[in-house]
Amino acid sequence: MNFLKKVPTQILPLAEAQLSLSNKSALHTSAVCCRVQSGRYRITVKRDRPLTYEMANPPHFIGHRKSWNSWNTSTLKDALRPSQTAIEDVFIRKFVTGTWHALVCSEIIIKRQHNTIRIAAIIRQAISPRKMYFLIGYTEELLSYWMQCPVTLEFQTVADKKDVVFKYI
Amino acid sequence: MYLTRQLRLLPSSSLVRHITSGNGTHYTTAAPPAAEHIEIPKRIERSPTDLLQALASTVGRDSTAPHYKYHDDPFLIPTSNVTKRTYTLSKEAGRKAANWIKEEHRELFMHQEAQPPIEKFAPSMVYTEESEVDTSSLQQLIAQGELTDAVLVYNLLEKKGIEVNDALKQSLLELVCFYNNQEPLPEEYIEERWFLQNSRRRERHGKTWKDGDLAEKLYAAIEPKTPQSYAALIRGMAKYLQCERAYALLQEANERQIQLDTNTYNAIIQIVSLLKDTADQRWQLCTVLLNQMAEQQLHPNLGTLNALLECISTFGNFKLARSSALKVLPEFKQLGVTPSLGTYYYLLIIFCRERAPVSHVIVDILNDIGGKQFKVEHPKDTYFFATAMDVCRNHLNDKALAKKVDELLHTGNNYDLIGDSFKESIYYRNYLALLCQTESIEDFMQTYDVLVPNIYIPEPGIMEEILRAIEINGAVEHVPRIWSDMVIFDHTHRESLLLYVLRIMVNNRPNAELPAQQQLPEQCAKVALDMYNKIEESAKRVRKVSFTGQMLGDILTLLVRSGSSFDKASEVFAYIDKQQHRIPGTPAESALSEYVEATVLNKAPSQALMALQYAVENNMETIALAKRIHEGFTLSEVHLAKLKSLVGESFLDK
Amino acid sequence: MAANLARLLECNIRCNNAAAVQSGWRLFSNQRQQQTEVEDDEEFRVLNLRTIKQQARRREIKKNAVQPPRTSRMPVDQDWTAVWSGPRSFHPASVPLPLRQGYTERGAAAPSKYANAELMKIPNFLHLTPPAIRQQCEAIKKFCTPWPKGLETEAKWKRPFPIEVITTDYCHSLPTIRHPEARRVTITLKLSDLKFDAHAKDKFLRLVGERYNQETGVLTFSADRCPMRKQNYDYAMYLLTACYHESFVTEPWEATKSEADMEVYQFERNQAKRSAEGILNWNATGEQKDAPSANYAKSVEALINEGENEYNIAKYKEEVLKMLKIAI
Repeated sequence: MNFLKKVPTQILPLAEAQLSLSNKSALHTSAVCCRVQSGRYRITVKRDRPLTYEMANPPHFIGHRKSWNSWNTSTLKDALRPSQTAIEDVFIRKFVTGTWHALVCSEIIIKRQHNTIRIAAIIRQAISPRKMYFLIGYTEELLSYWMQCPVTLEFQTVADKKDVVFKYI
Repeated sequence: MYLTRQLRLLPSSSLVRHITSGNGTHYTTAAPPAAEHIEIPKRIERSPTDLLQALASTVGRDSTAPHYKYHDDPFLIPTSNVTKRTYTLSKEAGRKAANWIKEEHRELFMHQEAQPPIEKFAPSMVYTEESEVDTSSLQQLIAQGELTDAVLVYNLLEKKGIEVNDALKQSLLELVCFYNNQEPLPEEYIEERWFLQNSRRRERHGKTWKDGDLAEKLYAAIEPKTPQSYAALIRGMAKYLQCERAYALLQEANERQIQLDTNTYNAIIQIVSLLKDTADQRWQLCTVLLNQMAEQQLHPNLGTLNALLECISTFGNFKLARSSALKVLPEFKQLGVTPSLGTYYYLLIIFCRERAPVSHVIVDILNDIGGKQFKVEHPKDTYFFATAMDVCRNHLNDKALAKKVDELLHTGNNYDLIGDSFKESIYYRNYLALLCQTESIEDFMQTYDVLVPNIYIPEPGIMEEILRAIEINGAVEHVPRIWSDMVIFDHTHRESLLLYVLRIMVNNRPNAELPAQQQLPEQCAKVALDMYNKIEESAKRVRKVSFTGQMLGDILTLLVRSGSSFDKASEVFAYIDKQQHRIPGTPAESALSEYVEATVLNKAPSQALMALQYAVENNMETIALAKRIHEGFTLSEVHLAKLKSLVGESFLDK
Repeated sequence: MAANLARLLECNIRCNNAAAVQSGWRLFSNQRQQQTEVEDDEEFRVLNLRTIKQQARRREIKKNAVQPPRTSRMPVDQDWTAVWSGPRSFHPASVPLPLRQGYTERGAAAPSKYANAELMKIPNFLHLTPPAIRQQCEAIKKFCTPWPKGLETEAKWKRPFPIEVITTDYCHSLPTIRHPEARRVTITLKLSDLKFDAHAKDKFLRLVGERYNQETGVLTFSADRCPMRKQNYDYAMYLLTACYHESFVTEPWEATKSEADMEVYQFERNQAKRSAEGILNWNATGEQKDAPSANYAKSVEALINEGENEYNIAKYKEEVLKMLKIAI
């Protein structure tokens, strides 16, 4: 499986040199065994682990059965701030799941267009709409202070967490 | 999508010009001019936002969606006036919390991502007693309108003995006078402003000017006094209703031959009604002030017109008010002052008074301004639409006029002038009430569907009007819809409304032959049952509604009529029977007889007897009931005995 | 006493069963639930010690009923552009379409639009329906001017507008609107659009160097040395103008160009001409002098510039024979 091993040894230093020479974005490769484990869920004995559609499809189906959770232009040629964008996305995810504690039932989808950031997710109707509005105002404002972009939340609410469950394993 | 390539073509003439100007003429470089002349049109000038505004103008209002400040999700769409208010205000509270965090942990928000930098996303500067300040920072703060910081910096400068020049003092004076040395509500919290007027009626509450405060100290510090400093102080005092001193200052300025400006006079004219008590005196003072303006060769403007009309509108004497308004208007027209909506607002309140003869001035006004677009020019401009609709309903009761006003409101950007939530709801309250009195019920329900609930939610009073209209028209088919709205708007704890709904449904027995009304008995029964459950539930709440006999009787009737809900009807009747000592009043006799009729249909003699027993116990007409029971059933011995024991044997004789 | 207790317990169980059915909760374990179904006939009584606690927990906060999705209230002839006016994530309660998305195995139906994160992920174009685009075009038409007459085709507009300026804008999803690459400016024009004399053309081509593409005849000036696009544009235009004007200047030292500096062989300046003249004017007297014919000059130049090949040599032979009037 490890495709790096198949590469003839004399080419490797050359490739490395090229990588280090170009200060463009580089591809980071780690041991391929990650592919077997990451983004996958173990089947439980009682078969009662709830999975959303996103969780039910392992990472190699991205682009086939499921699509990306972050939409931005950082992978284009000559794109700026690719790493910062990724880190910011992680920050947004952590911030939203923490602020909307135990309410977010799906993945957090971050779409960036020009300088606006749109954050979509599915939220449980477990707190009163009044509190939700407070959190909406708070999240939008604080994130826009942090990212220095206008931030919009586009939530969908569901009555029960079970609504997002795709299957049990 | 993310990459645009621009091709720009330069005309050869520009190149040629370069060449020929830079060189001699010993060689010809320019191509001979093309045979046909090509005319390139001039670029149409536009501001940076013109395109956006043009695009925005294509977007209409979606009546099924809430206002865009609310989150478009069924769970989060507000359904009553209270929730509309709480949701927006809590959202704003969240924004304030975020702002507080930004200011509190400013060191975390110092990074600079956006290019060009956006000032509002960065923490604001903090000035303390120890800050290093100079006049330039004061100047900047005044330009930004940061009142508290500007005052703080000014005090610091004074302490340090740094000289502040007069021009800067003057601009600080203007700032302080404008806000009365009180930090105003920040501009970015629009929702709070939108809902502010609901709770606060700030109109003419007496003096709020701070005597001997910073403004007057600043004024004293400016030597020699300039016309601007006089103007600033007079306007500040007039705005915060320190009337006597403002007027005294004006006189002082006049004595010293200081040339003031029009807006200062406007400010004084605005408070004339507080300076003088009677209408004649007020009018006299106005004339004096206007003559002074004429002497100083000041050209009156829209502010003067509106201030004068405001003063006139306070006249108790209707005739004087009317005649002086009619004197003022042509004069200003001659001066070339275009009236704003505020002017028309004053005219409406001058001419259309409660105890005055009916005036049709609004017709002329609407003929004048129909189809025009307005921008805000005067603070009172936002009062026009609510007042105009009020006049349409209460003064003239004219549907066509109301429609005209509504059309004007939806012309161009005129909706911006609706004011705040309070005025908006007054406007729609009057509009809907007028329409439901004057329009046919079908037409009215169309308007109702568009406006309710996202633009306007009827208050209980208006709901009653609507129900009255439905009752008059006998349009019982709309009741289920209205009932579900009432449930959503939380009107179910109003007894009068509940009784109204029941009455309409009971009195307008649906005609089963019409295909449109076939579903109605079922729906009415559903409504009745829903109401029964709601009332039962409400017993545990604070705002509870208690059953009355009348109410229960109506519910019973409706349940009986639907045919399929006889079980429920018996349940309700059992409740009536059991709780008869707690429930005031008794059901109508017609309700009982209909119930008995239903028991016959459903072959339930024991229920029928129970009804009869109830009737006997409550001293109601029983003979007819007993007869009906006797005829309707083939009674068993036990039942017959009971029947006899209840009403005696007399009924058998007849 | 015992009978009483039994009745009480029975009552409890009934309560519990009813509750279990109503709320769908599992009160005990899985097995317990299955058992109740089996043992309904025999009414096996279980001592439920946790009854009170469970009943206390059941008290729920009363929730307000959630409205039905607003799609149910939408009229069929509504103005969709007002409903979906700008880019937005999908929301099932606002889009009255029975959409489905997602992959399922075994031929099951794809997940519906409710609580479907996949639909929220993909960028939708619900705000760019054809009517919306038509409306927007109509709205911005007032800022457009008509296309000038006489410039309908590329060939037509290339003539009065020979210079192309190429710049690139980067609209990335970033908090910044700046992009370093956006400063680059490229100017292209055809060499044939400039007027030269022979010397100027030669000098110009030397000045522009490889900015001239010999195959297409296109001149390309690109500039990226300044931080701003405007500066780069000005610089590129300056380059063009300066090169052009400079090419017409004849410096004094240009006259000192010797034969060795020539890049092409020119018959006029060379020994071949003098020799040919010598031959033609052999023993000639008087003013009349014969000059070698232009065709001869051409063939000599071709022979030397293009190298010896059969055609050139044959041509040269023919010309020589013609000049010397030798008939074969």
